[in-house]
Amino acid sequence: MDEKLKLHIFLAALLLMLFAFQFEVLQPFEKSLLGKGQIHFVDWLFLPHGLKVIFVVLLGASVLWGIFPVQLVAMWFFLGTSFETALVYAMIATSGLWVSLALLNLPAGRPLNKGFTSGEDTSFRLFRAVILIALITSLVTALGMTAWYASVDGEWVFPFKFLIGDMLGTLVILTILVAVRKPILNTVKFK
Amino acid sequence: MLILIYPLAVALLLATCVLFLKILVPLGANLPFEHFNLVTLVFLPFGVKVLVTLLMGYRAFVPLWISKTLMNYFYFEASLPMAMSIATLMSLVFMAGLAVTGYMLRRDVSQGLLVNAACASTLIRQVLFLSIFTSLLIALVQSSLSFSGMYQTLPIGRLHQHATGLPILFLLSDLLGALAAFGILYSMKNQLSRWLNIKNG
Repeated sequence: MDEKLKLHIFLAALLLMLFAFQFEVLQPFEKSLLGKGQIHFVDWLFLPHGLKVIFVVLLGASVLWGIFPVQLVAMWFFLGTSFETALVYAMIATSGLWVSLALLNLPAGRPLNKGFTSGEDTSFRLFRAVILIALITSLVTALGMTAWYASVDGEWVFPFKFLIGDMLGTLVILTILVAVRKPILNTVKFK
Repeated sequence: MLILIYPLAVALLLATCVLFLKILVPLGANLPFEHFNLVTLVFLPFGVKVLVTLLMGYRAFVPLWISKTLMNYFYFEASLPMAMSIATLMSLVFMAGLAVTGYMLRRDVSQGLLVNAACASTLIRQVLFLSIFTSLLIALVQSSLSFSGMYQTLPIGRLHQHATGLPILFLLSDLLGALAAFGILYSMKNQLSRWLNIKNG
């Protein structure tokens, strides 16, 4: 099998596992800690967002082909939403990732689908790219899902819960990545 | 001379709002579309606000705040504290958009994007980023305000009736408004390029 395809399948599996952890472990824990609340299906800490963003920043838009089905399956099976809601979420979140990547590449005049590890643009730091893509994607997702759920739940905090959950999730994943960066780099060097 | 830019910016913003509300919105209401109002879909004041922010940087907060407060207080008949609160929130959103653009470009944007702009096409792409990011943020804040019931107390509430499509409508109207202003800027591309060349020596 092609090495690139193997990598994408591995990343998709990793994301799916994190989604499972989010909805099966973290979400029940958060609800037991903070109470169920009115908007019970949105978390204050949403880890998969961070992983998705880091994949896009590192590999560019090609990784979105793997992210889309994972999001659809995760929402449908793990969160137990209707198929329509899962499909809308997967479409909005995936297009949000692409829009933010394109928006960041546009002012720099780079190809719109390109990630940030190709090395020719060293002035653009990865941290900035991660934070900005996380922010823009969560804005797009919050807005899209607000429109989708508006008829169901008219809570004013709804869009911001998406935003805060996504940003906190990204910061946690980024911190973990920075913390384990040396062992990963050492392993890669050893190989 | 520099102090004149503040009243000029306020006048420009107010003129655009009045033009939009008094001429374009009534025109749009006469169009034969019941749920798809073409004219309110293009929110021109947003484009002008983006241009003012582009030209003035963080100093744009003052004219944005004054014009928004005046419009809310006199036209939409909000109480003064509410008019001022909404104006503060909305002006801060533009400043946040500018700050994020500056963060992305790793550049000081306190004087606006025009200062030290490399070339006209780069500047236009940066303005596009600023408009899209700000309109996303505004759509989110506006829908939150609408959900909180704040608009129900104002006569403006009548403009926010279609709750389901509301966030997308906010986003679309701002984006199309920005696109209109962006089109004006693009048509001035050559003059802008010449001006930037002279300015940067």
